[in-house]
Amino acid sequence: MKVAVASGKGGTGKTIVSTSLFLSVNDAAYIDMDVEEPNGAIFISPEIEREERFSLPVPSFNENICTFCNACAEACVYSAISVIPQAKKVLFFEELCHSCGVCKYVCPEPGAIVEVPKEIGTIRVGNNGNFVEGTLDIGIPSAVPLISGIKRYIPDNDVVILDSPPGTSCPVVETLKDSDYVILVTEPTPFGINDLSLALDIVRELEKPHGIIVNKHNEKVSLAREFARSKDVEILLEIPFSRKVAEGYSKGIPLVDIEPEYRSNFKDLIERIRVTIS
Amino acid sequence: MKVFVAAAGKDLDSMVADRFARCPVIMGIESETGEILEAIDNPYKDGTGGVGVKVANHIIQNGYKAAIGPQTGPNATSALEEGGIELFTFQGTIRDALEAFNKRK
Repeated sequence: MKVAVASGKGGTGKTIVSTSLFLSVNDAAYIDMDVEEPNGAIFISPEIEREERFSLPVPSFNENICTFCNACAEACVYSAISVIPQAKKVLFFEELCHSCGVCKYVCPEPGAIVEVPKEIGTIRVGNNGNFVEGTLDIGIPSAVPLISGIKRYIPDNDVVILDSPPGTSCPVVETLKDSDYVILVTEPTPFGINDLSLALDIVRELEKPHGIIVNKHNEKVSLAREFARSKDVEILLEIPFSRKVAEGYSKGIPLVDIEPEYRSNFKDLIERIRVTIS
Repeated sequence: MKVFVAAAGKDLDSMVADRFARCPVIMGIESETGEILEAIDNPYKDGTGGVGVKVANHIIQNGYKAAIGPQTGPNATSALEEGGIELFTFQGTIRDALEAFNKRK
């Protein structure tokens, strides 16, 4: 089963929860989908076995064959092409291209458009395939194609943990859409709850079974509990704020190594999720 | 000369729009006579991206030689420059813009 860990707000503890699940559960795989800032490797220290560059096809125009008929530019819904018959030129705006291939498809002149690879990031696989992470190159406008590309490297372990990017936009949807269950990690602050509410809307729109983990929990603050009650969502686990955990985390020590008793909490959690989705 | 205008309305007393590709009205004028060749609601106005290129393509493909409007964006600028379209920046009514355009050196 694929369990995605998302949050809405950044810095609530997606990676602390994802890596804890991975390190506590038998036959688990950890997939870092937060390609703009992957950091799970800091806590897992994987042995990287394979590293591959990931690319997308983009058109290349041969102006000696092109008749400047404008069919490609008319077909391109992203306006990535400008055909200029006066100058016998085709301008290509690469940052607007979505690699859909329609320009090549509609082009009546064989060889006028060929697709060439454009590298957008790197995918690393380690720990006998149980660790996968993607890193988006600097300056690439969309993380979605790389996140989609990572999915081909997901192994068929019993439990696959998908560490999602923060936010509530396309990269998050791309991560969550193939998951079987979504854990939403929040912190009991107004910002945390606000973004949790947005993330919850997405998860419900996608019709994914879900529950909440409250990180940095404080018994005196009931924000998260009140929110969960009002939205009728289960709180799966509360991780109390602890200076010891925070200090360890800042040194790259996983939560379950700082406080080993959490291992059984995360094991139980996975079994409860298994029952929920069965 | 066939001139494109990024327009706020559909007649010569309308203002030149304050945004180029997201102008309310796409207008074409014969600069010598002031005849309006086209004045259509800009279909690209609320597009999510690539609007500058779409409007630049419209200008290039429809045989315009010049474009009157506010400052153009980077993508539209490179397409229009490659297409040899003369860019004439103006603020005010289209009638005044046309007069200034015809008197330009």
